[in-house]
Amino acid sequence: MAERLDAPPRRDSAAVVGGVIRPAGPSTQARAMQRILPAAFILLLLAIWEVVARLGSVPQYILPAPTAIGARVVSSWGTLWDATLITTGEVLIGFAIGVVLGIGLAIPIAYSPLVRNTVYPLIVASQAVPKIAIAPLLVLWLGFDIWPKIAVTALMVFFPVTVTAAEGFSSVDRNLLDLLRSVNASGTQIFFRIRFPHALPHIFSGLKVGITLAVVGAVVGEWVGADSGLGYLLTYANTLLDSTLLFAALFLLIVLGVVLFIAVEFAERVLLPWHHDDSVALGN
Amino acid sequence: MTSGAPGSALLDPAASAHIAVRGAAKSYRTARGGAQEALASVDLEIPRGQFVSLLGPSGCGKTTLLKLIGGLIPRSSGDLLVDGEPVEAALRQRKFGFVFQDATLLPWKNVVDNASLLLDITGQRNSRDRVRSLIRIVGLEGFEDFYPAQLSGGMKQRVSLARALALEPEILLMDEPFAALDAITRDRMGEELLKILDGSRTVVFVTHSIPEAVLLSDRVVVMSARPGRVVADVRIDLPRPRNGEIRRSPLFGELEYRLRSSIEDAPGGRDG
Repeated sequence: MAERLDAPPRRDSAAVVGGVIRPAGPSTQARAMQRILPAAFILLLLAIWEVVARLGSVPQYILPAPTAIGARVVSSWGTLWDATLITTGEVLIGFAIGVVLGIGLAIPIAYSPLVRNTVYPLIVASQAVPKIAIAPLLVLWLGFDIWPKIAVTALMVFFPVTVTAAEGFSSVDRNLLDLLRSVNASGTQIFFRIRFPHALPHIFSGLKVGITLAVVGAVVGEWVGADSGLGYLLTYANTLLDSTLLFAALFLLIVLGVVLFIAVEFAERVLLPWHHDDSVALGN
Repeated sequence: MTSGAPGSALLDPAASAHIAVRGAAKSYRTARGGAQEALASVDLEIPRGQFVSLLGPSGCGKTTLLKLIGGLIPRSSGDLLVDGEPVEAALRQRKFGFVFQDATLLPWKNVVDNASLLLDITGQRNSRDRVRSLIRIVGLEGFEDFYPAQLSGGMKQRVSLARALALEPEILLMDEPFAALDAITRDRMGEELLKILDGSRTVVFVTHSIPEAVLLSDRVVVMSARPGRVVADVRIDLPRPRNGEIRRSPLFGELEYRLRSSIEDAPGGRDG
C-alpha cells in the first residue's frame, strides 16, 4: 500500500501501454480458443447442411448445398457483383439520409417536451406501418428509379437513430449542466461541447441497428419495383426457382450487412476511443 | 474563530458577511398542484474565509440550500446576498466554484482538458499553465493525459476540484464531494482539501458525515428535515492547521457528540 491510500499509483508500477493499462486478460491459449470455437461451430453447421443436401433426397431447388452455392457465386460473379454495388449504393445513401434525418429530429425532441409529445407518436406510427406495404406507394410517388429504395431505407434507419440520439442529447448530468450555466455557457457551447459528444455512444448504438435495417430496407425497396440490385436478383431467382442463385444473392447480402456493421463498429472505435474502456481504472 | 476568518467576523456578522441568506425558502409544486416545502425560511450569515458545513440527514434540504446559495435554482422567497449584492451579480462575476458528489467529468477529455473546461467555455484558453499547476496542487501530477475511465473515484474528485478552482472562485460550494468514496479515501481527501484550500476561500460544504464536518469546518450548521430548516449552529474551535491526528483530541469527540445530539433531538431526527 502506498503512503497515501487514494494517491495515484506510480506510473511505472503497471504495464502502461499508450497511457492505457491493459487488463491481464485470458491467456493466449484461451483467447485462441475463443476465436476458433465460433468459426468451428459455423463450419459444423455448414457441414451438416452439405451432408443433408447431398445425401438426403432434397431436390436442389429446395435446398442447394453450400458448395453448390459457392460455385454459383464464382460462376455468376459478374451479375452478383453488379447487383451488390447497386444495393450498396442504395443502402449507403439511404443510411446517410436516415442518419441526418434522425439526428436532426432528435435535437428538437431532446430540447422541447412539446415537440417530443407531438412528434414521438407519429414516429412510432411510422415504424408500425409495414414498409413492404408502403413501398409500392413510394414507387408510385417517387418513380421506378433509385429513390423509392432510398426512401424505404431512410425510413427504417432514422427511427433507431432518432431514439438513441434524443436519449443521448437529454441524458447529460444535471449538475454538469448547472455548472456550465453558472459560467454563462451558451446553448451552442453546451450542445457542441457537451451534449453532442455525450450522445455519440448512444447514437452509435442507433447506427449499428440502423445499418443492418438499411440493408433490409434497400431489399424491400427492390422487391417492389426494380430491375437491378440484390433484392431484385432474389425475386428474379425465386420466380425461376433458381434456388442456388437465390442463396448466392442471400450470401452476398449477408456479407454486405456484416461488412457494413463492422465498418460502423470500426468508426466507433476510431472516433470514440474513450468509450471502449478495455482499460482498467487505476488504484482505488 | 480559527485561522482563515477574521476574528471580528463572528462578532458582527452582518457587517462583513461574505454570504448572507435572509429568509430564503424553497418550495416545489407537486404533481397534484399543491406545494411541497423543501426548505423553510433560512437565515445564515457566512463571513469571508469561513468553512461552513451544512450537516443533516438526507432530505433535509442541505443540497437545496447549497444550490440556492450558488444561484443554481431560484428561491421561492427571501434574499441572498454575496458581498452585499444579489447572488445573480456574484454569478456573473463567477465568484462560485462547484464540486458535486459525482465528479461529472467529460469521459472524452483527459485530465488537463477536464480541469480546463470552464476556462475554455469562458474563453480563457491561455491559462493552461495555471491548470497544470492546479493539477499538481490536487496531487495528480503525471496523470495529465489520463482519461476519467482510467482514474479512481478519489482521483476524479481531485480533477473536479481542480476544475472548480481553475476559475479562482471566491466561494467554493461542495455538495457531498467525498460521499461516493470509500471511508479511507474519504478521510484522506478531507485532510488534503484542508491543505489545498489553506483557509483562503469561503467554503460551503454539504455532508451527512459528522466527523467529516468536524474535521473540516469552522462552523457546522445542523439541519433537519420536513421541511428543511436550521436546528443548530455550532462553532468548531479546533486549532488549525488540522490533520488526521486531531480526531483523537477530546474536543473532537465532544463536538461530534454535540452535533449528533442536535441531529437526534430535532423532530424526525432519529428516523431521518
